[in-house]
Amino acid sequence: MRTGVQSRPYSRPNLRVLLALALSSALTAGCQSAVQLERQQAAGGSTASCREGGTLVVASAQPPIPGRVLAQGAANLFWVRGVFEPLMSVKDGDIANPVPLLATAWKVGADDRTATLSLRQGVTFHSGRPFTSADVLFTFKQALEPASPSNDKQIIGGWRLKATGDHEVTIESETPLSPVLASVLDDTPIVDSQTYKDLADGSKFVGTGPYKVERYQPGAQLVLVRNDRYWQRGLPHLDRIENVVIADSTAQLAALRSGRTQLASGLTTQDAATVTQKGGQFQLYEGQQVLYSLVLDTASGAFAKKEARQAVGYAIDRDRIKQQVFSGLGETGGLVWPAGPEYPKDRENAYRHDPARARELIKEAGASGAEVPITIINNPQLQAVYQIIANNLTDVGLRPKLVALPAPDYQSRLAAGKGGNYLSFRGQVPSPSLVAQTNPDIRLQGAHRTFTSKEYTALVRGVIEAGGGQAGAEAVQKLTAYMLDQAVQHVLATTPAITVKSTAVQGFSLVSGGLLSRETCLVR
Amino acid sequence: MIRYLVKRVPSVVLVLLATSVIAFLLPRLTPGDPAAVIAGPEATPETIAAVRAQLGLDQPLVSQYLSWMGGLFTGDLGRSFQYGRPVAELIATRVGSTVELAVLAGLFLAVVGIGLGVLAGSARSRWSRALADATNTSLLAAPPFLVGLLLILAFGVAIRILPISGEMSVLERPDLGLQYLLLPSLALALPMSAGVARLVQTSMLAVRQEDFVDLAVAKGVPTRRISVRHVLRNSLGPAVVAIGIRFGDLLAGAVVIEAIFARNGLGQLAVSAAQSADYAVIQVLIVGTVLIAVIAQLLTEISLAALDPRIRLGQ
Amino acid sequence: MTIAKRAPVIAAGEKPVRRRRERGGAPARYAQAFRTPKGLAGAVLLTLLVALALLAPLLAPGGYDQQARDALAGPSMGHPLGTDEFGRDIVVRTLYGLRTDLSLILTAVPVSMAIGTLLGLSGYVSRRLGSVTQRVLDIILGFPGLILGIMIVMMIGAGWKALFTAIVVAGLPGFGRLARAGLLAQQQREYVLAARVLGVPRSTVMVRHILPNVADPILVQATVFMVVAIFIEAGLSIVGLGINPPNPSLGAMLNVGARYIDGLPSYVLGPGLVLLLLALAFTLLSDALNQAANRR
Repeated sequence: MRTGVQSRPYSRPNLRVLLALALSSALTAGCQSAVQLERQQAAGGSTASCREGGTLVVASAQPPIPGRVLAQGAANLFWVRGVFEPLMSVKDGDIANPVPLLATAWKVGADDRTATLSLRQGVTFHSGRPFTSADVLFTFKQALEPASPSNDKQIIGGWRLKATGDHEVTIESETPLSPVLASVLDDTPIVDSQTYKDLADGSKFVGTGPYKVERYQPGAQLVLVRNDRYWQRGLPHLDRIENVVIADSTAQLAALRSGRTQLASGLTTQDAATVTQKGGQFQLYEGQQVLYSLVLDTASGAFAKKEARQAVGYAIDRDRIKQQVFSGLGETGGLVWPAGPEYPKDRENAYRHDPARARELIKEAGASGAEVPITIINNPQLQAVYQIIANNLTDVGLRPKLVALPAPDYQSRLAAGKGGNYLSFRGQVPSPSLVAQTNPDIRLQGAHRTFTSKEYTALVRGVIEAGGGQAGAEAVQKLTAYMLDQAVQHVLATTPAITVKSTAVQGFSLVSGGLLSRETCLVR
Repeated sequence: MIRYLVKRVPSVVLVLLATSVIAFLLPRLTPGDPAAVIAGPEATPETIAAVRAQLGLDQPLVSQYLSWMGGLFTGDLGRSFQYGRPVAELIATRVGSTVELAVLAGLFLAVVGIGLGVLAGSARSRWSRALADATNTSLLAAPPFLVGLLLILAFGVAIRILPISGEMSVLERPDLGLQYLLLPSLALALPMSAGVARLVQTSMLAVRQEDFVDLAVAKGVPTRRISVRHVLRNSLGPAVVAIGIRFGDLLAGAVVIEAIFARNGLGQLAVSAAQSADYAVIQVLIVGTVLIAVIAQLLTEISLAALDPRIRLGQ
Repeated sequence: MTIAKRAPVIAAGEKPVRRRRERGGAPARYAQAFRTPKGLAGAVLLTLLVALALLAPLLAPGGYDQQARDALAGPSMGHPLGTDEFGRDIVVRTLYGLRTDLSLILTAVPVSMAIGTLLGLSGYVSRRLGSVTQRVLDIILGFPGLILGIMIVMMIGAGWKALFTAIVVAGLPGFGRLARAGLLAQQQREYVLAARVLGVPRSTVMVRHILPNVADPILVQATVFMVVAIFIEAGLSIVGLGINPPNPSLGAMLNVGARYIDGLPSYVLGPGLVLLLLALAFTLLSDALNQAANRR
């Protein structure tokens, strides 16, 4: 006891000195700085415009979901096309001239109902097994499984695929092929028949792509490394792609600013603008077009009457939505169709912002003061869109009420047709026929909207049957006129999904399936 | 002490059983369908139904519960719906990150909390007491995420000396890992330390009024010795309780801190599981945290007994 | 039973203080609390904030959703803190946000206090009931903090009601444990035992002797929990489960404002400062009440 008391005055200062020493050495010269390390990794050494090698760190707001390789979506945006390649890829919506990947050539029959695809020879999966037509058949069979997430099931279901050689596949279809073929092939990357069952939980990733999966930490990160046996010589450029998950937008911005990440997806346009408008370090990259719509419930409530639905069209200030939610990016023409030869330009702007007229129509429909619940999925961008719409609708004499739901609830309600009036956002597809068969607000089977009529069904069928060209354009015209009159779906804006990209990243091309990382490189 | 622990076993088991039922039912009672998340935003009702069957969600609730419990006893925590991976693996890869954060934050919490409390409770100069008091009060009123944001602004954006995004395992790279850990753990600990400080201060003031302190003063014991040997030792009990209770809070607070510092810990796993209705993950995390809370409480009581001879366990 | 021995330990901060200087009843003591510098500052600050919140409709008759084209504009004469992403005045939104926060915590915390105290005192009716409610509270306390809130919000649907419920539930364990600790401590007291022996009805003992003695720590806890409630609102707003837009709340404004911190710092500073002041007011009050409670 006594000695203990005596020794204390001496031992205490010593401990303090030790602590101070340890701290200062940890924080200064003694050790490597994490901040410096991040800068070094991003900068690299060489000074050429596009250099070989290097590590790209990309941040996505949603965790990778390996089970959704056969579907599109933000979760797999940055990595999936690096590992799994489709037969061909559609760039900038140009379905007439797709980029050949695992197919080298294709021929569509004169009746537009058959196609013959020649497959690339000498391609091997990451496991070393050669790629053949059997893999194409296997992949499309998987896409049709009941639990498969593919959004092209309705189209693929109408196809008969046959292997007409080790490296040749023919497709027979009941409806015209040319408006849908390239896109569906692009959406469906080839998976390995031997390991596909191990892909769902991410235990094995075997594709033919330019990168192999080195490490997968579910929900946190996915690390890709260069596939040295990639079929195209000289590609890819990068050594590694690290796909990290950062859900919080403030943290995403912080990661960009501090130099940890070079690419970010899942930010709102406004958030992105906070880093892209300052200095020259980051750019806004405009990716796939996204359709934001308000879909009205025709079965019950205030919008059972057509006049009330039309009133909504006049009430909404689309321009303000574009400016204040999407930072001025995108179009507000109000049509669901993609740009292309069939696009009915003269039908644009059928509903312009006209609150007086909206009020009149609301009165006419006897809907003044009616409460209108609007279902949205709980995310900042849709909350922002909702706030403007709610403000507009209040202005014309309705009482909007927000029903903000988390994804599990929102998605199951919509799929069951119980979404009521809802705000939706759908990735735009490159042809009217694809829109009519895949967009859940428009398609006939498994539709999310409540509206249905014999006339509508016939008109949608017409668009699918007509294929491209003059006939297609006419069918789209007729359907558009009917849709605008019924005013079930008000397209609020068509705006690009944005990615924030460091200026150090080159060869950047995003297709609907995701980043074509085989061409991506770092500069300097 | 062992007799005391043995006596507590039945009530602990009962609490855990009740928790498992709640943890199982609560997520399933919230509207929404995990299959709808997996099937995707464009899915048809048929696809969703097929996914439900694949996940076993079409089974009756009782048999789902029993098979989960059966798994728990054989060490199988179940499989995440969202990732298809064993829940145990998901937790194992993240627990390190959160524990590192909580431990360092707990250390800051104890040091800053007790330090501030002792300062405020024993300082004789009015000014230094007022200063300690003011620091304390303003820390109490500052939410952790605000402190975190300010730290990010100060050290990550304005003066870039510490990393503000991401993490590195302290076990693999102690020097780098600690740098990544410093700001988040400070943001987590500082606001909470005020609560501990105030408890220490209050109980020091209370102990000062006790008879044995009067006795010591009357005996002419030096004030410094009174402060340390009599007052401080007898006031640390509440602080230990508070830190013990707050260790659970640390884990909870980690949710927000992990989000803004982009750390992939258990908090992030819990939030993403809750938002995607990944019942398999949530139910395990809930039972796990309640288990930790129960253990923390037991440990707190034991250490309290060790500090305060007036408390005897197990009688 | 061990539980009876254990509970006072949990509330060790409220150890029975031996010296009692009876000086008037509880009201007099609380009045005294407001006369200390801290108490006074807290009371004045809180009164000011409540007055601002109450007067918001008079100060800004246009309401909180006056959208305009002029979005994210810097501070000016018309908009002292600038405008938000929809061109709405940030000062006005902050005032109404304060109103939302106060309306939440000033209703939810008392309700939580009432229910929690009742649960804590349920041990008075029967010992078994008491230990059962205590276990239930243990479970709530053990729940991963924000996750409980998230589940509640998902179950009820985002909005005021969900936040209210989340705050009420989160407060139960704290109030319940304090009440039970007080109950157990008082039950051992000589005067309570004496009253029981003398045949005073149980209900009278409860109302006359136990409740007044339990009230002090509970009131202090209520002021402390006000601050926690503010943080719960803010925390849930950060995960995107806060109040429904376009209704403003301080937490929701902070969450959105944090993204524009570079270009428009006043978007965070306005609501941030008000949130800090609000939390500070309750902290000062709880300090003052705590001192008053300890002085007796």
